Amino acid sequence: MEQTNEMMMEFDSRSCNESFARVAVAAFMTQLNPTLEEVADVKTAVSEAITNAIIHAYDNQVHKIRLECRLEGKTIEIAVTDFGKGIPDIPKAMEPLFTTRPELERSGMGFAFMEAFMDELAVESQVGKGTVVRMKKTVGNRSPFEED
Amino acid sequence: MEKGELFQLKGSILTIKVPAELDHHLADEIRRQSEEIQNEHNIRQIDFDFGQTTFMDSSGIGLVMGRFREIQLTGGTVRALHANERVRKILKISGVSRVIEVVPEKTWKI
Repeated sequence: MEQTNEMMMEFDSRSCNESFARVAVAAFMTQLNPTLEEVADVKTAVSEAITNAIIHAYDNQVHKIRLECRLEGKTIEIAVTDFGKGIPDIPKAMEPLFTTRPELERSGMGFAFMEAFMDELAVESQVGKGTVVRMKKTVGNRSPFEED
Repeated sequence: MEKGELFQLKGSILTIKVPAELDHHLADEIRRQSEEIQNEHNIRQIDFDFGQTTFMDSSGIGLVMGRFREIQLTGGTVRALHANERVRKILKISGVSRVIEVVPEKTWKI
């Protein structure tokens, strides 16, 4: 069986913690020996999920965000959990350019970026209870001849 | 964050020196300050200088598109300068590079 490694952390939903969270995940995933681009992809996806929790789930009020990471083989699994207001219509929320907060200049690209930069994305949510965003990426499975 | 470090005003051109990491935290700050400058001056062009930028997420897209929408109303333009591969990728995936001019990191002058 392949070795696994897990970490979990919980922090306040303050925007200054966005960089802390993505850097922590980037540091944790170095064990997979990823390329710089793979690290950048994961950092962007984590940043999107955390930002969503801060702005949408908690409406900029300070509560807790839980971030879990699990490494297995060449794969990193990430779960971002909030205990905020939840998403009533997940498919709608995931539509590119859809945003409930245009006045904050939200681009509506958060979930689209998570999908573009990770291999798998799953969202579970319960209104009034919170949301879990699960993402997965396997590193090193890109052919060097592949182009963007 | 001091205004002087981030913003440069030359005539009607406002240059925004984007920090190393452009996320929601910093995008909010830059948006507030940029709106102040735009209210006080007649800005015709906004140049985002990404020369220092190694990280950007969709909040950065919101910032660039927000400025684009505003300045477009008065016929102004927005450009992204010194964009490295990562920044160009984000601008491309989000479709921003279809509406604003993106100038890459290195432009060789002969």
